Amino acid sequence: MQRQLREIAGPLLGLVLIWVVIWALAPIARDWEAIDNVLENSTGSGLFIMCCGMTIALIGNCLDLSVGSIYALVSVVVGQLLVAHMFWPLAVVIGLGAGALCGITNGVIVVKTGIPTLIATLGTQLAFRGVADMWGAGVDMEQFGKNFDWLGSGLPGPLLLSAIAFLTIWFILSKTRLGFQVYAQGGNAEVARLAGIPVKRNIVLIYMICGIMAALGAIVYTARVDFAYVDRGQGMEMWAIAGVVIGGTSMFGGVGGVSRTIIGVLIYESIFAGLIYLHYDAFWQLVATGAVLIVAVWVDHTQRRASASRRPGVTSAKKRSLWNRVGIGS
Amino acid sequence: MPSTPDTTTFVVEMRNIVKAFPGVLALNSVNFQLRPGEVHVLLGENGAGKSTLIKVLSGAYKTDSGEILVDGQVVSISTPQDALDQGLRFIYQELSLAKNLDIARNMFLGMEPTRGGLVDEKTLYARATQYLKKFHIDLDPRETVSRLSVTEQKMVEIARALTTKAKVLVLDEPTDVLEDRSRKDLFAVIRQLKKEQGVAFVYISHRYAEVAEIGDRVTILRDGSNVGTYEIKDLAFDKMIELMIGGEVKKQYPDLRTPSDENALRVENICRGRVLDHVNLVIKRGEIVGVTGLMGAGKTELGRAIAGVDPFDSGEIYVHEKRIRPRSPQDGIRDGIAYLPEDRKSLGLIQDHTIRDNYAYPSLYRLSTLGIVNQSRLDKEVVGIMGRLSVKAPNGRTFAMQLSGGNQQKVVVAKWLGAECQVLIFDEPTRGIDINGKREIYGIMEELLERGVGILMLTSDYTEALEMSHRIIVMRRGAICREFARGEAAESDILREAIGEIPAMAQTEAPKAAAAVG
Repeated sequence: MQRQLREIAGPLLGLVLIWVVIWALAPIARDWEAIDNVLENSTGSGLFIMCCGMTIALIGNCLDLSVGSIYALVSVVVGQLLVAHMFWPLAVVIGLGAGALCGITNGVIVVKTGIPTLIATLGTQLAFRGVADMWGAGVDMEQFGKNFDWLGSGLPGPLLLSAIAFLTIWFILSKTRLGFQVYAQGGNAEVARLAGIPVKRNIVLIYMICGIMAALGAIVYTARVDFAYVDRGQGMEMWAIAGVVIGGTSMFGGVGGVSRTIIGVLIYESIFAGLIYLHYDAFWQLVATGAVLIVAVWVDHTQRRASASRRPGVTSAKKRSLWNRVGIGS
Repeated sequence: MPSTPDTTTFVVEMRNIVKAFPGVLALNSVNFQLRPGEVHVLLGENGAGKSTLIKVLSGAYKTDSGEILVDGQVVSISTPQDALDQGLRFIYQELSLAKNLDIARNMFLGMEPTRGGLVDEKTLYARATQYLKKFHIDLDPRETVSRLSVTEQKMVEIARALTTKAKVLVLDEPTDVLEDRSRKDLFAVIRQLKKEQGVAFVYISHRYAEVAEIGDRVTILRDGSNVGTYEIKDLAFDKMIELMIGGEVKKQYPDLRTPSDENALRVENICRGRVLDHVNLVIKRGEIVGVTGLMGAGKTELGRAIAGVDPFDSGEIYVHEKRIRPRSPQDGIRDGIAYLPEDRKSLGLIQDHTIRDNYAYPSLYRLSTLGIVNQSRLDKEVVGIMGRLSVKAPNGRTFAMQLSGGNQQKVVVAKWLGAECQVLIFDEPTRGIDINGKREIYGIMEELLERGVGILMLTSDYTEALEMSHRIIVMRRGAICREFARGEAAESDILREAIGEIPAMAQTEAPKAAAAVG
């Protein structure tokens, strides 16, 4: 517990600082409403749930750019089923299944072709969105009923589902064999293979989990706004990656954890909220988040280099460039 | 340049160098003097301060106090570029090549011959070919470095350092990865360079045999202090070791017990393309079979095929006389065969993971029930094994990259002990490990034998093969060419078998090559 706290200490301190600044400059933000807003924004959009999936993906070194499209596709699938008066829990399960299927597709493509994950999931990002368009364009999908809508309305539903997503991923990563294997193969795939870890099977599993999480996120948001629409989740994968990385999970695989992701998401959602309270234009949100992302990765990078050279005899930090890892370059 | 060593001025002098790291005094007022045209060996255990001293000289580390003189002048070396400007060249243990470029480009990186502002490729490749030939490195200068083995890459590095005009060349365990023939060639070149150009060498090595062969003087470091500088001819071998480890010399190789009659591993007619050619071998329980041979003879390939790491075309493998068909390392481990790779740094351990996690990876299936890892059992096992193998680390949460080479190798061994395999394949088990570390590794191997494990030891260190195996198998071009019983062969016998016939080039061109450098 103490160790975990130390790991998230940096981002946590950043988050506290952000709120100190907000409260100092904007008295209006000094109530529960402000915090409730941030929590609702991060959980109600399904973004946090998606980030949970992205955490396991990045730790396992399986970059997934298709989550935004899976989000749109599942929204359409669930919307169609509900409009056709399917029993809502069944529709939810089928929606999750659709997400799993998308993830398995990603994993199988990566494993079978051996092409870089960046390219593979960029391809499926386009393909999944195409499928979503095919099924959902021009179709009215709204008014799904109170029971389904509870999943996304207010704070309780989204918070509950986010907690489930968080605990699931946390459990997998820190307690199960699969979790150990994900860290191992994200750290060094060849070492993992030599240790008898079924690296390829795990890649498929990782993408599947990531797909399911994107699907769950889509369901929450669809319930929240009470209609489904094909154009959802554009660029959302970038927000998911940013949340994970700002929290302190490595882009390079093998290092990280899902508790850090909570902080990561809250950091940029808090910045958004703060900028609004301080009457800045919405465009500044993007600038600020971009800056935070760069600073977060830079801090992580410097720390790692420092810890690597702390002892004599250890000369170099990881000489792995970002582009190598995502598969561009040699 | 004077052709005889000038004893009054030193080409490099380091005075009272102090360097502390948090918790460690790495260098405690070290003095070091290098004469022109000498080969000065730097000896010491891992952690004695050799690498730190060299890194101070190269500008990688800043000293806390002390000064460095080059040709009698106090100089400030605070960046690697400063060191280069002073004519100091360094070849490190770790490879530093641009892997995406070919050999010739690497050799002349940053100083490519140009014509009209463009790289003159013709001259580039011609000169690269010339230098490679000089060191009997039989490689195509157009080959991309990433396709070379570790050994071949090392050779390219050495060739690269020798292409520039150097006043001082620092070699950090250069021959560790070289086979005998290349080593002899390298020594010939070193002698030529020091004689004709007065180049001084600082030579760091673990191989005591070659200290006398190549060195003029030796400085011995222990725990960050200089415990003495001697003319090598005045220093007895045992005395040298004693100074290094600061105590009595203990016996390095354990006695090996007689193995049992049961077969641990039987391999029949393994073939793989042109790499492995009908290899047959048997390992008894409690037996070490040493496989040796030149680089590229197929040792590593044999080990990897047996363990399921690489596929093979035909042949049969039996563990405890049960036929197995390993198609992946996962199969190999399940069937009781583990392969411990040579390249510890990139294949043995995940450097930024903890000892505990690294230990767990091959044993995850044993350590978990219903997919949940029993972590208290894992922690208990880690504590136990770290004590048993005396891994020097505060606890199991220490990161692998914070360990010395010897301790890393112990963790690699620990990790495979945990997997509880009946056959262990050690690929170069003690390369780059100091004398104490080696003894500990051998001790662990002996203990494994007592538990009835069969060991296949792939090694290019002939002494190790002779001393640490019950039987020695010599490979050449993917096939087994000779098997010796323990005590039957001498190093020269092994070498003769490994080379086969002596290649014409090595004989006729060695003197010429050395002359061409001068």
